[in-house]
Amino acid sequence: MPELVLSHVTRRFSGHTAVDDLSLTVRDGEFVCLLGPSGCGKTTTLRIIAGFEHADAGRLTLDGADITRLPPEKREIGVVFQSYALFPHKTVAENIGFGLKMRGRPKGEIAKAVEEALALVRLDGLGGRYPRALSGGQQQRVALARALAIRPRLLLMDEPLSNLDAQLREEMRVEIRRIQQSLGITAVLVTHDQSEALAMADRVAVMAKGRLQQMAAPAEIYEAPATAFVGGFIGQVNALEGRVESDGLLVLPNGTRLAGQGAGLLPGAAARAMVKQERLSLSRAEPAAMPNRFPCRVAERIYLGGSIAYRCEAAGLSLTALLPNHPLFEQFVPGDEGWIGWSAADCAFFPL
Amino acid sequence: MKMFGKLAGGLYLVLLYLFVAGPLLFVIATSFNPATSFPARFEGLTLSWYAAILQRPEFLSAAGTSALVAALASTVAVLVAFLAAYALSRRSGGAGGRGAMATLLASPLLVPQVVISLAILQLASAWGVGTGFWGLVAAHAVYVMPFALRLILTGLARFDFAVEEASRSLGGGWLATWREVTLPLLRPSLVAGFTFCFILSFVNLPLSLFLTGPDTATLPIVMFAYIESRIDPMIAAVASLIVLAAGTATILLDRFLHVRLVD
Amino acid sequence: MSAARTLDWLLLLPSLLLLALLMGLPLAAMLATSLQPNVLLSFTGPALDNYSYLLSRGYYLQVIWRTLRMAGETTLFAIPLGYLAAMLLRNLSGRAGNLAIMGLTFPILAGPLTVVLGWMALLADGGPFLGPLVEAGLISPPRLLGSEAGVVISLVQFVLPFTVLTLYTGLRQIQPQMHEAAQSLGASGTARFLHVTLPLSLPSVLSATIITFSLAASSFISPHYLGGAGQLTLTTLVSQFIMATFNAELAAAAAGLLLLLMLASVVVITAVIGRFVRP
Repeated sequence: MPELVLSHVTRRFSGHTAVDDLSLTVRDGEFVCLLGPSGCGKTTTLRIIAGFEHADAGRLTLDGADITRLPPEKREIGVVFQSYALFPHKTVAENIGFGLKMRGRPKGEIAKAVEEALALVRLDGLGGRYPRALSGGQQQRVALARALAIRPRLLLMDEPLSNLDAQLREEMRVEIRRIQQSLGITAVLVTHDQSEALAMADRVAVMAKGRLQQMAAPAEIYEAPATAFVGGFIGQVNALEGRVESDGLLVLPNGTRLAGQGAGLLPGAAARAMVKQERLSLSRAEPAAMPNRFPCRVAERIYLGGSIAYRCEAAGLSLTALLPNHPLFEQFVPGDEGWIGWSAADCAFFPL
Repeated sequence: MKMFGKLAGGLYLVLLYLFVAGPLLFVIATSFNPATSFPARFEGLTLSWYAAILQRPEFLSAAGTSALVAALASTVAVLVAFLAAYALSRRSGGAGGRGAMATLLASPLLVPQVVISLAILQLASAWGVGTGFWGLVAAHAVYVMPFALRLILTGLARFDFAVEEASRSLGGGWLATWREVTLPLLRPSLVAGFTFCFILSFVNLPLSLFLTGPDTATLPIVMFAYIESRIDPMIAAVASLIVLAAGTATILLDRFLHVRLVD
Repeated sequence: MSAARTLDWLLLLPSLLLLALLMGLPLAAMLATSLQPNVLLSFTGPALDNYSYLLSRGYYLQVIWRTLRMAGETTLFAIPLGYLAAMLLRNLSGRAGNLAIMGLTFPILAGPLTVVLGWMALLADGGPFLGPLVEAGLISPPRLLGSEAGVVISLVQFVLPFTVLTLYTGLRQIQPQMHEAAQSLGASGTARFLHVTLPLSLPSVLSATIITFSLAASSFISPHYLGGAGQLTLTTLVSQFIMATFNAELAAAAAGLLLLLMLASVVVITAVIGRFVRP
C-alpha cells in the first residue's frame, strides 16, 4: 500500500535549517496539504519527497521501501510544478506520454494512456496542441495529466493553483479533489493558502520554521489548534498576552481576567489567549451567558461583503469581531456602545 | 514639439546607422568599380573583380583554413561555455561568486587580441615548438569563448530548470533528460553561439597576426598580406563576399532561431 | 561540499582550464620573455630593463601617450553618441527593435578589416567621397589618412555598436514603472532623466566606458591602416617589433605595458564613475 513515511527528515542550507527533524505519515489514498507561510520549509519537504533535494538526516519510506537515496526518476512519484514545467517543444500528447516513453512502453499503449489521461482532465482532442497555445487553466490540467499518466504511487503538487485567477482556482480545487478521489491516489499538495488547504485536504500539516506544528483534519486544525503558531496562522484571531492565574484563568497586564482553556499551563506562566474573530459576539444587550464580556465602543467598521468586521475598544483592549452581513445580526456604526463577549470554549491559552 | 523631438530622434538614429554601416556599404560599392586603383572614383559597374578572385587560389585555400580554424575554435568555445553557463544558471549553483565567475570567464574580451597572439607565440617558443595550426585554434578559441558564454547565458535566463525536474520525476535519467529536454530547448542559443563565434573567428585578423605560416594563412591574413603589397578593388570584392556571408548568417539567426543578441 | 556544488565546479572546470592554459599560461610566458635581455640590451637575469628602455625614450613615450589619448578621445565621443542612441532605441519594440539591434551587430560580424577598407576609401583626399568635394573647392584636402583624427573617426565607428549594445541592455533593465512613478510624482522629462534614468543607468555607463576604452586601446587594424607608421600605438608597435625589427623581448614588454595601462585605466574609470553609482 502506498503509504509515505518521513522520519526525522532534516535539510540544512548554508546558514539555516529549512526542514528540521520532520516526521509525518501520509496514509494510503489520503490527500494531505502542507500548509505554512513562505520559507516554512514546505516546498523543500516536497522536493525531498520528489527526490530533487536530498535529506541531510532522516529517512523516507514509500510502500514500506526506503527511498531516501533513490534518484527522482526511480521513485514513481508524479509531480505537478508551480510553473507547470511543461516541455514547450513537445505537444500536449508528447508531454503526457513522456513518462511512458521513458519507460520504453510501446507506442500504441502510450497513445491509449494519453487519451485516457486527456479524458480524465477533460481536455479531449487537445493532444496535438503545443503548451503555449493553451490557457493557464488548460496548462494546469496538462501538467496534472502528465504526472498521472505514469500511474504514480504518489502525486505531489507544488502550489499548483497559485498561477490561476480566483474563479478558476475554486474550480480546480474541486477538480483536483475529484480526480484524486476517483483514482484513489495518495497525494501531497503544498500551499500557503489556508482556505485551499482546508477545502481540499483529508488532513492538513501546518509547518513553521521547518518544523511540523500540527497535522490533523481541517476542522481540528481550525477548531483545536495545537500551538500558538497554528492558532494565530489559521483563521483571523484576536490575541491577548498575560499570565496564567489558575487553571482556565488568564490575567492580562491591565488586570482583566479571561476564562479559557489551556491544558497543562502552570500558574504564573506567560501565555497567549486566542479567540477567532467570528467567535466574538457584539450586541447592544449584555451577553450574560458569556464568562468573558466587556462593555465596548465600536471604533471602526470594515465592510467585507459577506461579513462585517468591527474593531472595538473594551477594557483598554482592541478586539475585532466578525459578524455575518445578515438582517438577523445587529449593525453598528463607529461610536456605538455595546457589549463584546466570548465563551471560554472559544478562548484557547497557549504557552509563550 | 513632441513631433519635432521624434523627428530629430529618428534623424539622429539614421545618421548614426549610416556612420556605423557606411564604410561597409562603401566597400560593397567599390567592389563593382572597374577602376584599377583603390580608392578611386566610380567609373561604372563590373563584376570583373569577383572573377579576379578566382585567379587567386590562395584566397580560396585561406578561406578554407579560416573556416577550419573557426569551426574548431567555435566548437571548443561553445562546448566549454555551455557547461559553464549551465553551472552559472542552475538555481542550486552557489549564488556567492556567480557574478565574479562570469566576469572572470569574460576576461579574454579585455585582453588585446594582438597580445593574445603574441603570448601564444612566445609560449610556443618558450617550449621550443612551432605554433602551427593548433596555436591558431587556441588563440581563436579563448577569444570567442566569452561571446558564446554571453549568448548561452541569455538563452538559459529564459530556461525553466523545473522542466528538468519534471522529466526526472517522469522517469527520465539525467542523460535522457539532457537529450530530450535540456538540449532541444537550448539548441537555438547553442547554434547562435556557434554561428556568432564562427563569424567572429573567421573575420579576425589580429589574433592570427603572429601565428600563421605559409600553410596556415587565414583569409584575413592573406588579405592583410595582399594589401601590404598593393591595393585594388579585388580586395573589396573579397570583403564584400565576407559581408554577404555575415549578413546572411545574421538574418538566418534572426529568422529561424529568434535569437536575441541582448535580453 | 554538496553534490550540486561539486557538479557546478566540474561544469566550470573546462572553461577555467581553457582560460588558464590558453590565456593565463601564454601571458605568463610573454611576461617572462619581457624580462629577458635582447639584441639591443644586454643585462643579466630577469630584469625590468626592457620596460625602462621603452619608458625612457621620447619616441616610445609618445606611442604610449598616443594610445591612451586615442582611446580616451574615442570613449569621449562614443559614450554620449551611444547613450543618446540607446535612449532612442530602448523605446523600439518587437520587429523594429530587433532590426535595430541586428543593424548594430552586423558591422561587428563583418569584421574590422572589411570596415577599415571602407574607411580607407572614405577618408582618402582623392577618394570617391572626399575627392569630388575637394575638387569642387568645397573643402580643402583634410588629410585624414595617416592622421590621428582619421584613426579616431574609425575607432568611434568600430566601438559604437559595442557601446550602444551595452548601454541599451542596461537601459532596458530599468523598469518603465520607475518613469511612471516619477511622472506621477510630478517630475518633468528633464527631472526624470536626471533623477531616475541617469543614476540607474550609471552601472551600464561604467561597463560601456570600460569596454569602449579597452576596445579602442587594443585596436590594431584602425591604427595600422589609417594611422600608419606616423601614428604608431602600442598594438602596432608590438607588431613592428615582431615583424620588422624581430625583437621579441621588447614586443613582450610593449604588450606588458599595454596590459598594465589598460588595467590601470579600468581602475581609474571604475573609481571615477563608480563614485556616482549608488548601491
